[in-house]
Amino acid sequence: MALKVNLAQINSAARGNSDLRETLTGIHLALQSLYAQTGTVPLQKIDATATAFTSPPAPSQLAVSGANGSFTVSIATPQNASGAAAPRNATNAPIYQEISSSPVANFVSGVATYPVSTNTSYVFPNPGVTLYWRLRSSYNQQNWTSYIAQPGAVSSGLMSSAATASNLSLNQSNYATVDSVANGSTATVRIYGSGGVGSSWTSILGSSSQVIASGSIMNVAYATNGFVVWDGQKYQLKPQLAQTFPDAWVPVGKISVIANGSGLVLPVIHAVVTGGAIVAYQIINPGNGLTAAPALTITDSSGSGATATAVVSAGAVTQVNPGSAGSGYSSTPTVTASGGVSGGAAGGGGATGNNGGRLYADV
Amino acid sequence: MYSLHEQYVDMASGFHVIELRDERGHRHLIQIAIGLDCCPACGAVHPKDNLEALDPAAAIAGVNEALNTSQRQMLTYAGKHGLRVR
Repeated sequence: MALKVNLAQINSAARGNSDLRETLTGIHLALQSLYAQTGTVPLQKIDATATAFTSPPAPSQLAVSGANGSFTVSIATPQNASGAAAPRNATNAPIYQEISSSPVANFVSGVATYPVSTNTSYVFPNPGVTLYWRLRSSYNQQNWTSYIAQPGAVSSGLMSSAATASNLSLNQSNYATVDSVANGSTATVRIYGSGGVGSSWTSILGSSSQVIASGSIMNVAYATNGFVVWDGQKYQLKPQLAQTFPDAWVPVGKISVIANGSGLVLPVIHAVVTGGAIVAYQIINPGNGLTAAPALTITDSSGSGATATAVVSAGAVTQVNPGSAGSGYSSTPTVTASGGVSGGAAGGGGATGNNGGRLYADV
Repeated sequence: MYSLHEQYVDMASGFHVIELRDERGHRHLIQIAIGLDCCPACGAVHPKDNLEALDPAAAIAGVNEALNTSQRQMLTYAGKHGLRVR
């Protein structure tokens, strides 16, 4: 029975071991010579194209990019190329790719060689590093092309926190209410749960939760903003988020302590009526301490339909813009201003904490 | 009823921290801001300029009374309807 072994099978069996391949190839050639001399059936070479596998393929193209803490490697093989001139193996044999990286351009140190594969795309997570990349190709993992280097170094960048769970909820809820009340010359910021002032609240993070004591932060100046966080022992009131909170801190909410109510003077506005319609407004007192345009409500014993808006500048009403003139008004309709402050009632303002852990202002 | 459990001054954050507790372990914190965050970068806290005018004892008494008034109302309700309190 003829022994049917070809060079391709020898190459495959001795992959990565050139000594073994040369030994087996030598035996193979010796047997062929012996069979020729004795007249018996020589060892048949089944795959006529097997010799083509011993030559390295045409160079592949390497493209490496870095983003979000990972390297993305893309390889274009000659078999992927289009056009008649593209080099192509006759049997579309798989091309093995060996990728390696190094922190230095000449690859003399720190070389990392990744497992040989026929894959043409890879993602290597490796945040915060800058590497040079190169590639070589082979049909048989023995005869390789010269290295093809990616021009220049590639930085993987830093991994963003959002990338760990893209578009997924953090599942964090803080069932706290934060508000403030006037307390003489200063305000008191209150943090409490659904049971009202003095009741504890629950912070839920993932599958765990903790009950946190209610609190009253006293001696807080008016006209200040603050971010309220729980540091594990007590509350902290930080004026801004210029710093990074420690991991163990639990954000609770943002508080806007607005101006003291005693400093707020609402404007006094009179309406000018002609033929039952309000055609203009007269500012009797522009008010003081306004931080937003007050709402104007027009009431009358007979008329209806008139609207107007106030314009505030430097804490006072500087202009009233008539809207609809309405009809049927008496000569003395009443214009009532209300609000005039941002952030809720005077001396107060607040934010509800059950907002998925985000901080936002209730203003 | 709530009563004073402990109090201390936290120099790092600039708070006079007062913890009230009731007999069931419920806690309420009174924090009197005696300092201002003067440097967001390094966290330096400077004293407020109204410390002389502050009256912590009055603050404790006021908050304590408010909490206990609320608690008394609930206990009265429980007693009226014969409910167990825990």
